[in-house]
Amino acid sequence: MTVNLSKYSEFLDHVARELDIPPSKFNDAVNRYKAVGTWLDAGVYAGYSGDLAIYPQGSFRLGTVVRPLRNGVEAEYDIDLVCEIPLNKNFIEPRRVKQSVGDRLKENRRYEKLLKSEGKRCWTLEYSEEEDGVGFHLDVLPAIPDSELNGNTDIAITDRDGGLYTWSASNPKGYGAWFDEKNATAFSRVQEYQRAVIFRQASAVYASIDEVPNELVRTPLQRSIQLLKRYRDSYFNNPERTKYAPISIIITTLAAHFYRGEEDIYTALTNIVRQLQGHTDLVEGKRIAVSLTDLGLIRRQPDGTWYIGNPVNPEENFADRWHEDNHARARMFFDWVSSINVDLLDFPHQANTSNANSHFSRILGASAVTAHLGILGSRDEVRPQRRKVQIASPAKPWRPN
Amino acid sequence: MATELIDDISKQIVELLDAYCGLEYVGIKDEIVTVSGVLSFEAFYEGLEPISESFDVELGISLDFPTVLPEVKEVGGQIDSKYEHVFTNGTLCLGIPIEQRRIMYDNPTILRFVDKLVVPYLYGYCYSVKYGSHPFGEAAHGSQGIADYYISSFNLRNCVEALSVVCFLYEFGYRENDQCPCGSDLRVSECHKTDLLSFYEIHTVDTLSNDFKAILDVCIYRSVEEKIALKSFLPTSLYNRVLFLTTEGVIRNLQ
Repeated sequence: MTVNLSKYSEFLDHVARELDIPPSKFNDAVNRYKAVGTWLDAGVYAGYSGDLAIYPQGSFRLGTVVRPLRNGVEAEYDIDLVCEIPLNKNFIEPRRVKQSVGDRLKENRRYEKLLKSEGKRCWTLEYSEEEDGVGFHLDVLPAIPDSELNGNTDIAITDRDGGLYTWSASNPKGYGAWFDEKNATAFSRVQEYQRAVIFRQASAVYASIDEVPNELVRTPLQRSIQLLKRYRDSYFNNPERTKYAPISIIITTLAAHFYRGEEDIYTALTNIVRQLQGHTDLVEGKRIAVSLTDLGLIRRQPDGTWYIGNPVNPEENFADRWHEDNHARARMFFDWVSSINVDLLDFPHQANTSNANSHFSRILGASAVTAHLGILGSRDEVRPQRRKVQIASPAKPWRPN
Repeated sequence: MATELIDDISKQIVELLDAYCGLEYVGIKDEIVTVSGVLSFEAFYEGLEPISESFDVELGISLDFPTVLPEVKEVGGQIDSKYEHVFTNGTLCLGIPIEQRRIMYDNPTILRFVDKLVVPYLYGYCYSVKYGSHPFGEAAHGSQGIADYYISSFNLRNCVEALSVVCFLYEFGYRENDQCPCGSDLRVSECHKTDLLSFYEIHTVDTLSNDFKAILDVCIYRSVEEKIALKSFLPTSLYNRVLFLTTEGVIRNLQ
């Protein structure tokens, strides 16, 4: 039995939703990070004028959040925040910037307890599920503006190597704007409908549709990225492979470049994966299709190293380590791409789909998959029929003490 | 054990297994019938998202059903061990005992127990995991939850009035011509007749005794909190009745 493609897309959409952050958790996370921002803003930092800005970056900003798998187990969400202090790069040391944010966090008893030891670039607050009922890691990235030009969103972030601190360049706002532009057409198409759906499903969280944040709307591009990231997490969950897993920003950047506004996840994913696969011959130093060479998104440089550029800062090369260990990252990247083809894209065309449960549980995680297998129609043959129950005047759950 | 009673329980179990085909009869031991397997449901609640789910469960059904309600365990490890509404032995805490009994009262069959208590519980769990809040709300823990249930069912103002109601039930059962324990100057027949009668019919000696102790606990706790001796915290007549019920250890039989 083969599976109807629109059903399969619907299935993938449901699975991606399970990987995503639920509205109530999203709300909790926003409240927590705004509180951190307010606390940091009220601190005193020598030599600054104006307002401190705190904003999300990375998957939380881009709407591509995936519940992480740590050693194959569903773990807490990671949320990355930039804390941009209006200081002049010429008059301040990176160490001071990093330390003053750390010091300010430690002045708060609650944050002091949540704070992990100093990271390379950021301070991590670990909200555990037991204490807080939420469960996520908040990475606070201290930064300062890196340009005096109006409207320029470049920032300088601090980089620690032992006791030595240096500046690095970054531009998360610029990257976010670039991603939004790639996503814009699809976003405006799905926005209204999705907000209504989210409101209906999370009516305990929002008083009206207007309160549903746009940050929870997901296009087929965002859903595809979520699925690719989860498939990456399971594929590379192996001691030999794990350190060669493609970083999220590579997946996100390439998927956004290749997305052409496809209206369903299966078509979007197929298109993205086909284009990625078109680059496979680069591993052997061979030529690839001219159309792909012209785009120049994944390139071999004359010295054999790899290049995948940051779209808002071409000097930054996301693939700067791909040549190491005899091109291990590059090889595994293309092995992984070819497995996506087999595991995710070819599945609906297979004659025997009765193993859907074990297949998708293995590659995307049982907890995301099990509830939605019914969509594929393969489950009812083996699973008992569900009883339909209309709930009325239910008891409230209680506990004796 | 009367065979007709076992016959009746068997009929009810057959009805349950017909409705939930993933469940199986396991056996009977120490007057407890065990049924286990996959409980698959598609549940609908008001305008909220319908939820389709399957849980591995084990039901321990007492031959004293419906006087004693079944115990239910989720054995597939799907329910997070941190979820609050699970007893330490793994039994699901489906609701305040008297509320469970009330829901079962009209038509106490095992199938109805699963439809009305187990499935809604599991639906509420799935929903709260997904959306972070419980769709039906959650009762306060422990004795407070029990007192709150009396307060809202009888439309009372506080735990002292709840104590008065539960004392009345505990001591006299149901008396139509007495003054209503809610504190109005009306007779029971003109006041909380229906509620009192239904609580009286639903309770057993044990459940009533438990509720009495729980609500008394809440009153003692409140009086300590407000730094008032229980004797002054309660109206004199109520205090004397509580004293009588506790010191004498009277267990009124409910006929």
